[in-house]
Amino acid sequence: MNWSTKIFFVVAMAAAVLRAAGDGDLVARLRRRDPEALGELYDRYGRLIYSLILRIVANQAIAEELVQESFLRVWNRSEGFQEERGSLGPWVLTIARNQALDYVRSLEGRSSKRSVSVDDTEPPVAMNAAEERILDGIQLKKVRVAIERLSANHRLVIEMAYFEGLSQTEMAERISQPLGTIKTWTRMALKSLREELGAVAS
Amino acid sequence: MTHDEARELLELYQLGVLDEADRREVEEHLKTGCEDCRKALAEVAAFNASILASVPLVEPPPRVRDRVLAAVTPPKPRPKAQPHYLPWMAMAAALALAVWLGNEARLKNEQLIVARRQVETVTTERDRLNSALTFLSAPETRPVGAKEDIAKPRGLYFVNPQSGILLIATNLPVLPAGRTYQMWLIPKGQAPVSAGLFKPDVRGGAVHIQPGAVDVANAAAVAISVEPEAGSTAPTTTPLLVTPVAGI
Repeated sequence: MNWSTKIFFVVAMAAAVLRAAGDGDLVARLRRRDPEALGELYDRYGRLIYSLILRIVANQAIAEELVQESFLRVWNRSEGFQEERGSLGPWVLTIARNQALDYVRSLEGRSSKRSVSVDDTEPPVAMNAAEERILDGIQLKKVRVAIERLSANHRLVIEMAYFEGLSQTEMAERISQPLGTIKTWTRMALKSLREELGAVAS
Repeated sequence: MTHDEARELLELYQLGVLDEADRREVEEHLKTGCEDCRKALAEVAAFNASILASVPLVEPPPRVRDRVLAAVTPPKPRPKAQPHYLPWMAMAAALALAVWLGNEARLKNEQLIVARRQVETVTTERDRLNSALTFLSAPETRPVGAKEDIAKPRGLYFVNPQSGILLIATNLPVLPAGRTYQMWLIPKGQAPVSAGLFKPDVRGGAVHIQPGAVDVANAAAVAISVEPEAGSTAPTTTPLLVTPVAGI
């Protein structure tokens, strides 16, 4: 690693830490029902949330509507926040994904499912330094590269799980493959990604 | 389900896309209090978020931010709009005031007209009564049945058990300085009781009322006498116009 790379890495780390600290302040202000705080939250995550929702619903007008609903959901649940410190990004992303998937499922007549643990029924929790880096630009580039490296079948099951909210049984029906094959592909795909992105979790 | 089997499904579990049977088994395993899985779950949340965040970034239109903020910001009067509204509001207020004042003036005017009418009525009534009393208390006036004797003092008493005694007198002698007429009610077998002080006009005419209940049944007579200015407890001069009260 040369000097310029090291300096860039340090600056990126500092930026990530500062951003996470800022989120702690934002949590406190959102809890006080400060509309300006929601504006700042939007400035931080609005583009990402819009992009995610657009990716899922593939319709600009509906994506705009769902972004608004997602931020309103954050706003309405902000009084339940427990931690002063903690990145809001993953929580806001989860809420946005649930909103978008609920919409898609309602179109397809499927029942609504919710992700757990960082579900919008639970307030965001404090994250360690590594976890705070997840939305860092460098990290996201690594994720994109890792997904591109997956085989077509492995990438397909990841897409269906993350951006279409399909269960493994639903995936098997969708692409007419045996459930066992889907399970194998999913397990292999996640293993590859964990290994590629190991720095996130360790 | 072993720990390794559960760990392999944690990403899908966190995403909420596990099939029902798998989801139940993962939850059973988490309930055993597996510390590794509990820690892993936080890592999995971050891992999943980073995959969700890896989507190609698209800039949303600025209106999205406006709509988000508008939804949580209480509506405020826009400052730019104020100079626009203010003259209209002032005009509306002035118009309302003018209407109100006009209404008030109209009401006041109506009240004044009513009051004037009342005064006119009262004045007419008073004039009518005055002329009647003047007529009655004039020296030349006499009951039709009485003899014409202009110079003689004359009086007509009216009695009402509830309202009192009224005297209409004419030709009363002019009072010396420091003197007044006093009316008396004389009960049967008792000393006279004062029934008020009065002074006649320059022509000797007087209308005097002593208000209050009168024990007419026990009254023997009414009379007047000339008394000192402050009145007396009993007549000190010879009573005039002594008139018996007829029994019921």
